[in-house]
Amino acid sequence: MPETSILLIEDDPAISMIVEEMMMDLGMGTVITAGRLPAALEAAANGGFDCAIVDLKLHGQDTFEVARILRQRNIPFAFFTGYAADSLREYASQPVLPKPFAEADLKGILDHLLRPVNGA
Amino acid sequence: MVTAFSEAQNGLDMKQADGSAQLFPKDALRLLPTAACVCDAQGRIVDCNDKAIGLWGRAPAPGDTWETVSGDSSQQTRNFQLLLEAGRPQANAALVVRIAPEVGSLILANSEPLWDGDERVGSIVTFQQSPGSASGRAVLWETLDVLPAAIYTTDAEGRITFFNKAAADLWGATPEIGASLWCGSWKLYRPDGSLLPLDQCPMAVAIRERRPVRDVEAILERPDGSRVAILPHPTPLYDPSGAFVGAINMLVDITHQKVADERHILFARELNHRVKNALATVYAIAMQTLRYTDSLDSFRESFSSRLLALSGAHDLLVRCQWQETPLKTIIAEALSSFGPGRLDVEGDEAEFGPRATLTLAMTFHELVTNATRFGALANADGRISIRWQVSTDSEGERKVSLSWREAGGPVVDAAAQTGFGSRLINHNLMALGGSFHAEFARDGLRCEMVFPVINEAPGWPPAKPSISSTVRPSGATADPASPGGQVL
Repeated sequence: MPETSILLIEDDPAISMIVEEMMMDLGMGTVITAGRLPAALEAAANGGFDCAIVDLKLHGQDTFEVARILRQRNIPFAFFTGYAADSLREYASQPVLPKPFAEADLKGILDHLLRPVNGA
Repeated sequence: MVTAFSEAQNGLDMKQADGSAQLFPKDALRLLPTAACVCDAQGRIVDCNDKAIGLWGRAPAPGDTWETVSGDSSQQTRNFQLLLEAGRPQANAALVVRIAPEVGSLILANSEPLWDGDERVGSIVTFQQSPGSASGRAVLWETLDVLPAAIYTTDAEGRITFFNKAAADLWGATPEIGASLWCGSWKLYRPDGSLLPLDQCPMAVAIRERRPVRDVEAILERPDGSRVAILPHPTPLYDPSGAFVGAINMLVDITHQKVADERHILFARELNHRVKNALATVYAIAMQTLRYTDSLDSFRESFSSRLLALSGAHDLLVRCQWQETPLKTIIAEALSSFGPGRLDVEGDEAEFGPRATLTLAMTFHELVTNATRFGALANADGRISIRWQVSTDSEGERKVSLSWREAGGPVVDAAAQTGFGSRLINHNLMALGGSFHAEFARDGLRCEMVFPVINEAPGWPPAKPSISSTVRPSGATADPASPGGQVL
């Protein structure tokens, strides 16, 4: 697998830290993390990653605008949330990494997002 | 005074004066056994007999109508007058005539249109003081008119025969007595939002099927477009002989209850989300602690202490009702096991939303743990000074600059302190969009932290998601000067 880069949008540092480490264990090249909405929007707009995992809320604010940018740029992403799927509005068809999650869930989602049809 | 009124020169009897047809023979009017008056086609009183004047307590003046001489401003009187003007016959209408605002007589009124060939030229109204059931009905209607519950009745065909003021207020409209069918609502909808035709409304069902209808909610739309959730209570009415005579309905406004129900659903949903988030945090802390401890004993100690810190931080959120928590309170909670004699905590006011409060609480917990194991809190006389200022940066964002100074603890072994704790603190500050710098001076640890004041205060229950109000268009966000995504 060529070196991949992942955007992780998550406002709980305990979770982003362990997810980053798990991603590293899975052989991902770089993990870009954003914990606040302005940083997340900027990271999504800047690109430079192969797929994204997006928490539905950052400090109480929805991240649908981040999802819109990612969809526009055709970058595969999954929501990362404990909310029910009907909270995803027009993004209900996006894959979801549920909270809480197991390491296997994370691996499954990354495999799905980075599958060859959309891969580099 | 009776004579004066009946004379042509008082202006009320012009038709007779100029020789045109008299609406109703004057002598007949005098001879009628009941009080009576004659109205023109516009509902103005043009003649009356002594018995009528006796009941009204005065003779009518030019231009007086039934409504003005009755001295009563209830909806029933208004309706009677409207039907008089429309030329509809009315039988046994129970009305009130007032000789003073607080002195009223209950009467039964009948009206019949008067015709001149095909032309309706007026009406004759006869009325009498009415003991018995009619007066009982008038008392009842008068009482209903002042009650806040919306109540109306229909005849056996569903034509509205009575409605009170509360019903007119609820409908935001005034139905036509004797003509409007089923309900005075402008429009009705089912709870699923589909249109409910008036002839299928619960009142129509109750009348057609001769049964009370209960527990069927509807949404009423007023002519001005506003909507009210209602619970109707249509109930058939029967006369003493058992014949079906119509129905009565009470419309209960359940808008407040519906709003409360929706809040309850949001509340339960949000609670579920928060529980799952908390479990995800606990899982992450467990996995992380597992990675950085080398024995089961040290895992047990570190994990349980972090879990208790997280629990204490949640207590803070509850105390501040998931709104905003002052920084001073967050720090005080982390240091609650230590007396004030060893601490010097001082800084500007700054308040944080729930997510940032949890992150800061866990950060200070790590610093306190570190101080307890290796630093100023590891012996009996070390001290910690925590000072901060709030300033506004060039982007307009408020930032806290905080210094943590330990003194008087055991001699610091820098190597022992560069472990997981400081990595975790560093990561926490980055997640907040801030920075962390630690230095191990000879007399103790010195840390400098900078982090933005994040007070999201989502409310409880949270406001409905509103992208447009919280997020700028994507093109406006790429500001090279603002802190971007952190590359780890």
